[in-house]
Amino acid sequence: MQHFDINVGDYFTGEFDSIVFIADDDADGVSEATFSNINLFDEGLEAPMAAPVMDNFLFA
Amino acid sequence: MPVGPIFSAVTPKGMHLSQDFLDTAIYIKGDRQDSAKIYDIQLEIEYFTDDLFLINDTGYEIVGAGAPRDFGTSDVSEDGSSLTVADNGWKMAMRDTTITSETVISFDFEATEEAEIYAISFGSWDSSDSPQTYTFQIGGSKIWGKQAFNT
Repeated sequence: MQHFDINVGDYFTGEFDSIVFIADDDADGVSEATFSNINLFDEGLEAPMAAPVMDNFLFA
Repeated sequence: MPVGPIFSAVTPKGMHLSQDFLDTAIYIKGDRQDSAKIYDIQLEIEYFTDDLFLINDTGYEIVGAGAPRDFGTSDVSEDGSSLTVADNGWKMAMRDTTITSETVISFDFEATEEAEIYAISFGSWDSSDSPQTYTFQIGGSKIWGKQAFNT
């Protein structure tokens, strides 16, 4: 299990309508990966009192 | 009971909180001096920010990214916290998102098969932009998208 914190806003900004989870394997079509505990938040809110505002990202 | 604005506060652990951290302060006093019983008071505070971070407690719909990319399957854990993508899958969680210069996404990731590209990306790719511009590769044998987090 790896944990990632990606500072997306350092690379691009803008409006998006989805977050895409990619497990690409055109060669033999076999891949499997699990993405979990996803939080999307504003870095400026990472103060102690603001930590709970993270988006508890749930899938339907 | 205080009625004016509260500009600073000290937590039970002694942390001083400035006005920047305080949107709301609540004063609670409770006692039962006429009773030998001790009562606990529990205060539950829920924080909400603007729409960018609003929690959607019904969960986000998962759909395939379509041809020619998505050929795989997906599975959502019972509690909705995990998405497993398999067998050459490109799956989208439908969520309107505004990425600002301050936006961070954090998540846990575990791959149980070798693949060409494991990545997380932001959708609404228009015809003038390559999806790679908005994609962070985090694994796989093929180089595709931004590589800063491909360890």
